Amino acid sequence: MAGADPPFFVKLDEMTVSRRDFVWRCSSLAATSLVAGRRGWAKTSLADLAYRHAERVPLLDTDRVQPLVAAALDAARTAGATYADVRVTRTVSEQIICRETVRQAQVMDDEEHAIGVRALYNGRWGFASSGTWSQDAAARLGRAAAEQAHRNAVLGVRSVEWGHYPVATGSWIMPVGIDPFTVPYEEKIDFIDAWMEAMQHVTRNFVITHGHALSFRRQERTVGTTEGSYFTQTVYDSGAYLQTSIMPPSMRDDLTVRIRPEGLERQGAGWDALVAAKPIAQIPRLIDAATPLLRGKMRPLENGRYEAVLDAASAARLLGKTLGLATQLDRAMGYEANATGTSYLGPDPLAMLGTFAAGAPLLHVSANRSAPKGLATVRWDDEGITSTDFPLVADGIVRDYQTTREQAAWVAPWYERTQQPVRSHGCAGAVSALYPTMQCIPNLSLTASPGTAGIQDFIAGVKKGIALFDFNFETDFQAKNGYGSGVVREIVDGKIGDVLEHGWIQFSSVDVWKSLRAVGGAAHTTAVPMSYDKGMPSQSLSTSISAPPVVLSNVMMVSERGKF
Amino acid sequence: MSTSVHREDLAVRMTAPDPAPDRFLSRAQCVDLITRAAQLARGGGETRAAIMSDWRGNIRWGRNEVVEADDIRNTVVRVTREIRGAASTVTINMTDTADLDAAVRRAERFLTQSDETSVTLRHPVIDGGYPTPPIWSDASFGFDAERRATLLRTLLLPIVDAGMMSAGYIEVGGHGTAYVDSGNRCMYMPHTTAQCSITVRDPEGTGSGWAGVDHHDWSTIDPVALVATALRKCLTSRHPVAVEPGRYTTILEPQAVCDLTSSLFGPMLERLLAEQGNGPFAGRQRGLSKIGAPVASPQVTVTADPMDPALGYVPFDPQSGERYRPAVWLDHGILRNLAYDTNYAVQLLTRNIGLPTNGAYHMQGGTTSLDEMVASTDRGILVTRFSNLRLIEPNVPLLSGFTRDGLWLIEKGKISKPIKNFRFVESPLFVMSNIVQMGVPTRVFHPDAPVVVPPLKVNDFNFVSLVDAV
Repeated sequence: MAGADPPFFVKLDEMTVSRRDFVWRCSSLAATSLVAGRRGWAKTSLADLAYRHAERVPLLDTDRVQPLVAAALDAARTAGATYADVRVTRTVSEQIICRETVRQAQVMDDEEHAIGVRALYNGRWGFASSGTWSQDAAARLGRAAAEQAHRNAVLGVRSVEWGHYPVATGSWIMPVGIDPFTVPYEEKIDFIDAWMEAMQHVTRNFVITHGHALSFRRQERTVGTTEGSYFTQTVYDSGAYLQTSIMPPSMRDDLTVRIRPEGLERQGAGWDALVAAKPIAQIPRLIDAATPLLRGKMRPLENGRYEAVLDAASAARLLGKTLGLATQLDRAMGYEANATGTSYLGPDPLAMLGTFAAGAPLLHVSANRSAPKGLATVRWDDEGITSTDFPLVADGIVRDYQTTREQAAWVAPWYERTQQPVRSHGCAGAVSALYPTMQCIPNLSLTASPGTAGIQDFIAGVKKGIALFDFNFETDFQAKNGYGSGVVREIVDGKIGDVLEHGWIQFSSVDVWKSLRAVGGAAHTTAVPMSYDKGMPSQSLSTSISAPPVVLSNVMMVSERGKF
Repeated sequence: MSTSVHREDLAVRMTAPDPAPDRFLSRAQCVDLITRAAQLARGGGETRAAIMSDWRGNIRWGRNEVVEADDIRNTVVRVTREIRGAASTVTINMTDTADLDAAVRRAERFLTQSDETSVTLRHPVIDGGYPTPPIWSDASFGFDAERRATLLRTLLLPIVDAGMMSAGYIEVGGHGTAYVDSGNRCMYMPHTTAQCSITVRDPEGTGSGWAGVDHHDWSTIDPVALVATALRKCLTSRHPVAVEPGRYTTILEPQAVCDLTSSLFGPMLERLLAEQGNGPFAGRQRGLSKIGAPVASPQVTVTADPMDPALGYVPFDPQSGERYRPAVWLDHGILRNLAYDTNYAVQLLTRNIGLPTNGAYHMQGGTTSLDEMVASTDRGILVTRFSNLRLIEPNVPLLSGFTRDGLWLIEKGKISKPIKNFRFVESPLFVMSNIVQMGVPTRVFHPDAPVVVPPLKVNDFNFVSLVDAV
């Protein structure tokens, strides 16, 4: 077409796509020989080390663990604990990181065994843990935890309302199609290699740099309590980070665009979920989205207030960094003040319930520990509670907090006033048994509207505004104010326009959700992982946040570059 | 690694008795563990190993009551197998022979994923003695749970009397850290850690103060003084007023200086990163760095030395075997060195040893007291510390974050009122180029690696927006 810009990219051959998919489907189901043979490793003497086949990392024999639990509980009881629980965890993790070539892949393999005992005496907690799995070590931990609790009791008796809950027994494995620890390394390396080859093929006129990683984690967890609970569960965390940065031949730094396929974010899933995302098949769509960015049609963002359409991932991340952090009850009460901070839903969280407008009436936020592929999904929390979905915000008003057994009693007056049971929401957990149990963030969800509206519908409905894609956010130590950046595109008369450079959003958490004007439909909901630190000693945990696209009527945008 | 460890090569000069084996591994236990791992290797090549064995005891409180007290013990073993340039590492925390065998097998399996290479990677060789900083403290190791609980009862009294609420954390630790190279030579260092941090808040949520420090020796930490500081800051920070954002003459207390500059003296200090054109120390073209160029005010000198009595840290990286040598990073504002490993040193600098960094640093200072800095300021801001920092532009570098736990306006040489917190966007190099006054350096709260920095008074610190978080 006359006057049209020449294409940046070479068309990705459909045959190439289907061949790749075929290879993965075969190698996922059959032996490794197809892939290994293609690599020709038989030629190298390293193959003499005789590890062609995957060394499966078997699931733990739970009979090995039960005596440890029994020894620890007996010792804690004997040492005077009025309640004790024991967690035994085995955590295996694997990271494969590639930069420019899979032959320079860095593999990190980690296995951790841990046993941790928590004991209660006169309302005071003690905790002891180690990496040694033996009955003698378990008994020592039981005694040590009880002794710690006794020593803390010199500070006086404290009241802990523990509540009464059914005893939890049984076992559960997070449903995944293919355990990633049964997948040969050759196949994992080939997953990355195929992406790199495909990107090399379509971007041959560009400077490209690669930064790719696969990460897998599986934790088997056994919990036993002096109340008689005994259960085991296995959870997974799998993710792929395939990011190719492309820069046009002009080598302008500010035109570097990152191509990253969707559906590969960390999730409570197995290898099959990553394969099913079909990253290579996404390349034509990703390139279509990247082309305007590479054509350099950018102009500076002007400071000011805008109507903004957020894509689903951006909306989910905004939710996580605001209400996700603020609705942790221990944080709102001040127990985290010396660590990650407090909450804007404090200092009297009880007074907020049923009265505080955290957002527009359109805002409904719920929490769960059951979402498929949720990183915080379990059958029981670490106190044996089976959680049901619960609302945190309904019609824009704060309705509840994230709680554990002890914490539920802190907001008992609210439950009694609203005729709800005083019951833990099952948010107890820890990185592993090496660390003390604390309240962890469950999966969170911004409830979709009953309709079918997606981001294109929202863009079409904006006369003059902006669209925010792939934004990341940071909030302060109360989660009260924040800022964020990503890709900003102008919207004019319902159509996407130029890229607006160096635009940052600056917000108050309450005001930004009060400006919520529209929420997308369930079909357009996306889940993203959120990592957060909490506690002292600090623990790094993860959860999943889901949201549809949203429209915010009044966001403050600033151009940061102009300030320097 | 051969099948026997040459004990005469274990040139460890102990500065403390071999610690109790039930809390962390002794030197003898580390040697035994590594010997067993080495005997399990198959297929030739080399085996290196690192052991990080830790005990930590702590007490944590919130709302003026103990939340919990913990005793945590763990030993991490990293085994690296290398055959003709292909290398892989497996990390476990189990020490039974069967578990070590499985780990070594997995490391050897991963070798099939890499090409053998004709490029010889050079790894550090332990070719003699190494410095042994005095970083063991009986006071830390003996500060048991009963003493911690008893101390806390004393610490809470003035806070409760003042009607304020506190949260805090005290931790002590004993550690055995070892590295064994492919020639069976071993480095081992027992050491202790200690930290104390306290936040005091007004129950109405209008004020907050913080104080904290870490050191290897608990006896150098004065928790009563820390409580007094945090309480004073809380009481004097209540009911803050809003002040217009903008560029201000700013007095940064030592903790704030550490919060702002610590990222500069960690991974950003890598020479290879700079020569690839990345980070704040990259030169004008690829392959060059800013070594030799001024990057900060001539008042700024930053060094790192494990034997520095104000710092004191394990003199080697157990994960790589790299030894930390005395380093001058900034010399009167000139960038003198950037960090590199042994492989870089051998391949590119014709040296046989690296100059790595673990993030510890000591910034020289002056003699101006905080009171003198305030008295000489017509209009400015006093900052306790920063929080939630994010790197928003790595090549400058530009950081953004928030002030926290005490912010005051200075007018005509006096602290006039508490003010609301700000978000800032600023470059630590810009800050270090705009120094008006420097105080006496002091140890701050940075448990990852020891840091000693002075308070600084700087011009034109950029506060970009108000935040009403307290």
